[in-house]
Order: sequence, then structure tokens, then C-alpha cells
Amino acid sequence: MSTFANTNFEDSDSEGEDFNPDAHVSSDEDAKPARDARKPAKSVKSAAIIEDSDDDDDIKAPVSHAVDDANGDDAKDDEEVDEDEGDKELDDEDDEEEDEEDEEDRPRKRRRKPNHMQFIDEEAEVDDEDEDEEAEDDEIDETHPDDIAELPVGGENDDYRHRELDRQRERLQDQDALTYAEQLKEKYGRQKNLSMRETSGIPQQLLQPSAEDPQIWSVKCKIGKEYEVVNSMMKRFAERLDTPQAIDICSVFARPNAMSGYIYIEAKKQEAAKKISEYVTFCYAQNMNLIQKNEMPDLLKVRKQKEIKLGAFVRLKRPAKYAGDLAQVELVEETASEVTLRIVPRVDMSQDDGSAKRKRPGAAVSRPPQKLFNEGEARKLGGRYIQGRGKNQFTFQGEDYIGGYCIKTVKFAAVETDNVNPTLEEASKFAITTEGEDGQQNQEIDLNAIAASLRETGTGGDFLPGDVVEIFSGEQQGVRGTAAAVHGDVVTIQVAAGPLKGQKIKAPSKSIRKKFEIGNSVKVLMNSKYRNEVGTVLKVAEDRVTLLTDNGQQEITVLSRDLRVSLDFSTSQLNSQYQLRDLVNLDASTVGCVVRENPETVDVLDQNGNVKQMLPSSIAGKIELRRPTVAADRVGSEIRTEDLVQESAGNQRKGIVIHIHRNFLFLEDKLQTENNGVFVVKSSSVTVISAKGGRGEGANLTEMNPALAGKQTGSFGTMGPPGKPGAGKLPIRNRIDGAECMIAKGAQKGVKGRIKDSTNTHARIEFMNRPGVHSYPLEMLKYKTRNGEWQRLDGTPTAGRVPGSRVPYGSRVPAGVSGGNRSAWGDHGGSGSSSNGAGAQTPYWKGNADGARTPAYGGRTSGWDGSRTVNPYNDGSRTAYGNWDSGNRTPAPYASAPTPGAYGANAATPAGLDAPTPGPYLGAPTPGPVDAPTPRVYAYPTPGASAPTPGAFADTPGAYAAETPGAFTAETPGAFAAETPAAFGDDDDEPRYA
Amino acid sequence: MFFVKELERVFYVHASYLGSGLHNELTKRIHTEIEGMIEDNYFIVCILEDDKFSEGRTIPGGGHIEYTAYMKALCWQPYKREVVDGVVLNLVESGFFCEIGALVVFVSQEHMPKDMFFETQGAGPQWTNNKDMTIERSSSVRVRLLGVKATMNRLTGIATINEDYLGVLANS
Repeated sequence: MSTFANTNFEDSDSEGEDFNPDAHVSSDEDAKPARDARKPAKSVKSAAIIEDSDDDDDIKAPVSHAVDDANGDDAKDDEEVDEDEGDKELDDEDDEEEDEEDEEDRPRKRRRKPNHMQFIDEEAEVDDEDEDEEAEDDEIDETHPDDIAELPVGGENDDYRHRELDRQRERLQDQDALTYAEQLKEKYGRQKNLSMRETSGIPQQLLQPSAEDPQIWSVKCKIGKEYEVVNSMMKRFAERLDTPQAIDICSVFARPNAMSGYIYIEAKKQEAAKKISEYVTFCYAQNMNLIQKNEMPDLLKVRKQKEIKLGAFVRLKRPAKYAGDLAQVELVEETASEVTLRIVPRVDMSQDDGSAKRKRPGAAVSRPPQKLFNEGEARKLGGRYIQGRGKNQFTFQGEDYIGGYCIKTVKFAAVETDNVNPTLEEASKFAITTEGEDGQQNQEIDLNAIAASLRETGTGGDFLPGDVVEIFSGEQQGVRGTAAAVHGDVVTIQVAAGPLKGQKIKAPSKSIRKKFEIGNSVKVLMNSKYRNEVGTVLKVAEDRVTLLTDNGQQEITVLSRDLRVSLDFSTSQLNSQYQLRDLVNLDASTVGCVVRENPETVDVLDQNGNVKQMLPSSIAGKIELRRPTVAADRVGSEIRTEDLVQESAGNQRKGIVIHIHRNFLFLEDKLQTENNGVFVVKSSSVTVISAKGGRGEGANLTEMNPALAGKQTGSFGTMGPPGKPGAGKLPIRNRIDGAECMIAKGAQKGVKGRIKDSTNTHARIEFMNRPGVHSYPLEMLKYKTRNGEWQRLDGTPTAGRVPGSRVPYGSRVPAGVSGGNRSAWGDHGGSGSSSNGAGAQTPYWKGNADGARTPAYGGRTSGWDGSRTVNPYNDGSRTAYGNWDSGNRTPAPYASAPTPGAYGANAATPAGLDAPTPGPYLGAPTPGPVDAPTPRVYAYPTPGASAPTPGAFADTPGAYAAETPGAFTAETPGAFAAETPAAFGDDDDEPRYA
Repeated sequence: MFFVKELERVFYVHASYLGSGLHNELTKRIHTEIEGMIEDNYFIVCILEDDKFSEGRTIPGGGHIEYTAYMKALCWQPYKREVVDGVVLNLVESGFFCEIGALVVFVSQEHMPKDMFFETQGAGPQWTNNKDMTIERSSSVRVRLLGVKATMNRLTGIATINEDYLGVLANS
């Protein structure tokens, strides 16, 4: 092939010039095809000129001349033909040689081309090989610039030729505009015509029927027989065609869907319409109504019929039993007006077999629940109405059941195809059950079908500006972006990527779906059964999005239309008054813990470990715990909420206690997915692994105020008895201001008042029985604490045994008995007679224990001497015992104790025990061992337990006797008294004491 | 990824702390109240510098003093597509949970190699392909994070092991 073969015949517009060699060749003589082929190549200009213009030859001639001249070829115009023939002959000779070289030559020729074709378009339209060869020969001749240079005489010739060429070019250019216009016309004009034809620019208004147009008559016919009637009319029309009875009608048609029971005849005259409709079966031609002109268009307007696709979901309108039920299209026939559906049957299994037959369709329809057809049940019901028709296919009560579904053929009219909106739950009843390899039945839901039917009904309302969306069908398939605006069904998308990036395009909402990325946090919208679930996207497959829910950590699959990107954590703003992990009362004996909130219900894990789904209304109530509950684990350690415990048997599950109810613990293990991690155990089957921090009750002031913490521990010393929390000595003022108080000693003793103000040493008191505010030293006062006991302002509890009534005893105390002793009693007895009481007391309590106590025992010591002082003790002892336990025989051990006579005879010991009691409480460095274990013994007045103490004491007197009273007193009181206050006075503190 | 981040916090201190122990108190509070917290989407691992405080300011109407503490904290923020090592906490039928410090991620079956399956027989639940990979409780795994969410002082997320070099670590 020559270079010419490369040129493009059709691509004429690329050069702006056309050439049609075929036309030219055919118009020319056969004898000079090669010339023809060459000439156009040289002619530079388009085929239009060559073909259409009359001066064809004029053009050709100069061109060939020009070229020939350029090649130094002196041949004359007239000889052109001969020359050509000669050329051809030459070519023929050369053919054989050239043929073989042909292929290799091509590149060479191409290179050569520019040289000889400077003025010539590369348009060449020859595909004949011979012509190519010939042309090539010519070229070889022509492409010799040297030859041109060697022409000495060709000077003026050259000039002439050049000018001629210029002229010709001018002419061509002039014509060029015309031809170009023509070309354009030819090219685009044609298209214009085409498009005119397509769009038919005639406005609809002009197409409205006019008075000249045929008229349309409507004729009644039997409902459902419309097409039949039309067909018989057409038959009649065809029969009479070309006969004298020909009926002059234009058309007959029916609209069985829109206008059932009517057919329409289009004719110029009513006569014709009558002719064609009379005596047609099912056609009631008596009444013939003329359709108004303005109604005609409506009659003929074609509403695009909804296409019902196989497998699509529809809703049934009839029969009433299935009204509103979802159905899947099983079979659609192209032409029929019926569709076969797969329905989840509602077989009334409560009917006894006879009544089913008798039932009238008009009767009120009961709506049995949806349930797949079960052969066994049906046989039980009425075995004789069931017919097996192969595997899993039955006919029962006139309905066909295949694979459990009811297969029913209904009219299109009974089917709703708009707004089907199948929910996943409904659709899941249509799951296709397939037998897996392992014999298990796998259920597959045709999510595509759901999605399709959802898409059909999808409205723009599902999209919100800001949603990330993707176009999944149509031309712009795959375009992704953000919804910028939503107007009805049209969503404007700001394209985020791709060549359209940054542009806004509009797309119908049907072709759009929301796009989610793996890892997105999303929330389920209202349509789904999982509404309000929040989760993370795990997987996206077209329309289906699998999420991991935040609550319960389950995987769920929902349609992307039901999702929205969300930043919330799963907030439970559900309707119920019960929230996750609430402890609720199910009935009188059952409690449960809410483990899941559903849109309408809550799941409750009861104390027996069963999960029940309950309506909030069926729950008796929420259990509000007023105070912290405590349970004991299997070894007796206390369990409180928020402790970490572990089962000691079974799965050894660990969990944080969220609720304690009797002996049931509701535990939570966040790692478990079942029941949201909540499970229930018996408290006796777990052990505490770790308690939740300190067990402090009430406000822990130490955190607020460092001073408190420090001082308190300091006051304990090495092994101090516990004070009340916060009962340190410092902030007395804070505690007592406003408190009820009483003067504890002096002439005013017993007078009550209220503390108005206080300093570190004094308090100002407003008395109840007289006006005015008086200042008293603090040590003279007692005040009433919150729990109603009287307390010394130095922190000494005076309560407990409060033998304040023991006035006789107090009064009996001889003046000779040292003040220390009395001072101890002074509190209780309030013996106003004691003049030195206050002085004695203060040092005593303040911790100078020795000084204070010594006299106390000194007093007693004197008693041992046989002085009468013992007598008061005697009384006192009784008091003491009376307080403990009236029926107590405790004195006996005392009596029998090998104590000195004074001791034994007077049974003064108890008194001795009693007297110093408060002392050790104040932190006297009493021996720890005695101190610690005893209090309970004393707290609960067990005589037996108290007995040994005196025994121990019983030994002491000997020692006492031997030693100085001072030494003796220093120890003994401590030993005994340490326990006593706890026992008698501060019952509420006793657990702490342990 | 770990960062050193400068943080600022306001503390209210009771007036009774005013004194020599104030500094200690503030420092203690910083450590107990900030370390281990999850802010926006990062986890505060520890406080590196804890000794810069503003001057105290009394709050009218209460006995408290307001201090602003300026500190540098070592923070850890997990990023999407980051590859991290974690320890398997729990295995369930749909995947497993693993713990990367304060972050608990779920690796779904979708994001495991296709040949892995859930096995409940034997010692304990495990995900295995019966070849080179067996994931059981407290296995060390290397995962690539696919999404991380920080909410309510919890970091949660999802991850994948369906990639080269991800999955159970050899020495575990």
C-alpha cells in the first residue's frame, strides 16, 4: 500500500476539505484511473469542487501542470493522457519489482512525502495497489529538487506557473467558503433534520383534536371482556374491508385498567361506530357516548405502567385476609393482567374442617397469624382437603402451598406496587431456604429485592444535606459526593472525587444510596427494627451495611438507607422509663436487671438467670436503693456494689457488682456480649477479688481538709481507741455552735440552753429559762450531739451508762474520796456538791491520766484500809451491775476472788472498774492486747465474759498492796476501762472498734 | 501514636490546703485526676511535667482556690489505618476483641482471612485456620485499625487482620 492508502476518505472535515475519489473516478474514463487518483491529490482542494463544479478540467489541468513543472517535467497539458498511459505502462513493468519491496518501501515513502508535497494536501484516496505504485513512480520523478535546480530555461516558466498556482489558490479559496458552507450544511443540516424529526417541535397544544378530527365513542361492555370485544370488532372490520360493507372506523381500543367495562371506537361518523359494535358479544351497544374533545387526550394518555419484576416485593390489597401483607412476585406473564405471588400464608388452623368449605367470602374475615404452611397441622385440621402434589407442594382449601408459602395468582389491581417499604423483618419471612453442604438450612434473604423495592419507593426524604452518597445507577454511576441539597426526589450532589470533582450534579434519589466507610460510626434510623442502635461499620456490601453495635457488641446488618453517620454514643433516649442496668421488680418475688432496651420493650435478666422480654408496663417498678446494700461472699467478706468478684465455681466469671438483691448479685463483665455483659450469681458462690477503694461512709473530710486527717491520726497515738469520725478536738466550735447545751457542773448544773457562739475556751449560752446570753468556760458545758447524747466539750462521751440518776450514789460519795474519782462520776451523777470536781476532771480527761487517775485509786486504796469509803462503792457496784444485767451473778466471782477483805466484803471492785472507765478511752496507753479484743464482750452484756476480767483484776490487789498506789493505779484502770466505754457508751461505734 | 501534649487544667483546692503541702496536693491531684483519662480521642498515658501552676485565685462564695495547672502529658492517639499490637481479650462467634492499652477493638470475621473459623472445642474458644494462625484468649495479635471511637472515657474501635504481616504474633 502506498502512502495514499493512509489517508482518510471519510475524515474530510479534519482538513476542512473534502475529496471523494470514488465519485471522481467513476465519472472519469477508466483509462486514466491513476491520473485521477493523482490529480486530486495534487488538486489540494475538495471533492466538492471536483465533483460539483463544471470547470473540473480547468482545475485539474493547472494543478497537474504545476506539479509537473515542479518536477521539471515538461510535458504539455494536451499530452497528459498519453503521459499517463505511458506511466501506466512503466508501472506495469515495474510492478513485479515493486511489489516485493512494497512493504519495506512504505516508511521511505513517508519520509519522502513532505518533499514533494509541500503544497499539496496529504489527501489521497487510492487503495488500488497499482495506482500506488504508479504514484510512487511519479513521486520519485517529482521529488528531485536537483532537477528543478538544473533547469536553466525554466525560469519564466516557473514564474508563470507559480502565478498560475497562486491564482488557482485564490480561486479555490473563494470557492472554499462556499463549499465549506455547503459541507457544513450537508453535515449538520442532515442532523438538524434528524433532530427535528425526533423532538417534533410542534407544541402539544397544536396536536389537540379539532373539529375535523374523528370522534371517539365509548361503548359499554362486560367488565373483563374489553379485549375480547375489541378483537371481535377488529375481526369484523377486517372481514368487511374491501367490500361494500366496509366500516369506516379509525380505531377501536380499550383501557381495561383505567376504564374497565368500556371500549372506545374512533370513527368519523357514529354510523360506523354503530355498525361495528352491534351484535358483538359482551358489547352493549345501546348506549354510545361521545367523548368530548377535551377529554380525548386524557383518554389516550398512557401512564407508564409499573413494571413488576420477578422477585420484587409488593403488597396485597385483596383478598382481605392478606390485605397489607407483603408478597413476593413469583411469576409475571407479559401480557396477562395477573401476577402470581408468594405469600406467607395465614391458614386458619382453628377452623374445624367442615366450616372452611362453607365459609362465604363475604363474611367477616378473621386474620389468622402469618405462619408458614405446615403439612402436619393441616392434616390434623382436615386431612381430606389436603392434596400432596410433589415434594413440599400441597393444595389445601383451594390454595396452593409450595415450600410452606402460599402461591396465589391475583390481578394486578389487587397488588400495591408503590410504597411497599418492606421492612427487613417482613422480608426475612421470605428468606430462601437452601440446604447447605453440612445439611444445615441456610436462610438467605433476597436483600437485593428488598433494596430494589425500597428504591422504587424511595423518596428524597431519606437523604439529608451532608449525607455522603453514591450514584449507583445511570450514566453517572460510581460518582461519589456529599448531598448538598435535597428537593423532593432530586438530590444535588457535590462531587467529591473523580473528573467531576467540585461540581454539583443532580440525581434522582432512586439512583443514589448512602455511602458508608468501614469504621464509620453510624446510627440506625427509625425504619428498622434496630432503630437507635449506634455502631461501627464493619462491612459494606452495596446496600447492606454490617455494623458492630456499641451496646451489646453484636453484628447486625441493615440497609444503608436506614443509617446515618452519627457522632453520638449510644444514648438511650428510648421511650421506656427503665434504663440499661436498672434493677426492677418483676413481681413480688422476682427482681431483674435491664440488660437491653428495645424500641418497645426491655429485656430483663431476672434473678434466676432468665432473660425475658417485657413491656415496660408489665414491670412492677424500679427498685431504688436508699442505702448501700451489703452482702457476704462465700468466706464472709462483705460485698458491696462496684466490687470486683469472681465466681468460685463454674465458669469462674468475674464481674463488677452492679446490684445486690438479697443473696443475688447482678454482675457485669464488659467483655461478655451476652445480655450486655450482665449476669446473675448467688452471693455465696463468689469471692471478692477487690473492693472498690475505701469503705468510707459519709463525706470524707480528710480529702477536703488535710488538717483533719493529720490531727486525727495523731490523736490515736499508737493504738488509740477510735473516736467518732471528725470528733477530733480542734473544731469544737464548729460543732457546737447552735447546739443544745447544759451546764455540767457548778451551781448552775443541769441548766439547759443553746450555744450562740463560742471561742476556744468559752461559749456564750442563751439559757432556756432566763433571758440573756452568758459566757461560760467550755469545760463547764456539755452539749447534745446529733444523735442525742450529751457530750463533754472536750470530746468525752458521757453517755452510755448515764447513771445520772444515781444521785444517791453521787451524793454518798464522801468528801474524803478524792476528787478524781468523783470527777468521773460527776458527769454521770451530777452531784452538785462536789466543789473541786471541775478542776479534777479537766486534767483527768485531758490526758494527764496519771495525775487524774491516781487520786481515783487513791480513794479506793484508802477503802482497802477498811475505811468506810468502800460503802459507796458497794452501791456503785450494784449500779454498775444493774446496768449490765440485772440478773447477773457476777458479783460472786468478785466475792470469791482472793482479794483483800475490803475488796471482797464490800464488793467494791465493780465500782472500781466503773470509776475509771472513761479514762482509758481518752487514750491512756493501756496495753493493747487487753484493749482490742474485749469490747464486744463488754458491748453485749454477757456476764460470763465479764467475769474473767475481775478475775484478772483479782490478782492485782496483791500487787497493789505491795506497790505504791500510784503504780497500781497507773495500770489497772486502763486495763479495764479501755473496753468499758465502748461497751456502754458508744454502741454505734463498735464495728469500727473491731 | 504517642505524642507529648501540653495540657491545661483547672483545679479547685480547699483553702485548708493552703500551706506547705499545697504543691504536693496539686501534683497529686494532677496525677490522679488526669492520668488514664481519655480526652477527645486520645488517651493520657502519664504526666511528664507537673510543676507549673498559675497563681491561685479565690472563688467568691466558697472556700476554694482555683489553680490552673500547665503540664506536659504523654498521650496516645490511635489512628485509623495504624498498625498496632494488642492482646486478645475475648473471642466470640462473630470475631474477637483485643485490647491495645486503653483501646478495645473488635476484629470481625469479615476482617480475618477467609480460611479462619471459630472453634469452641478443646481448651477454649479460638479462631483458627488450623495452620499457622490460632487466636485464643491472651494471644498477642497485630492488627490494623479500621476505625476508632472515643466515647464516655472509653476507646473502642474495629480492626482487621486480613493483610500481610497481621494476625497473631509468632512468639505469643
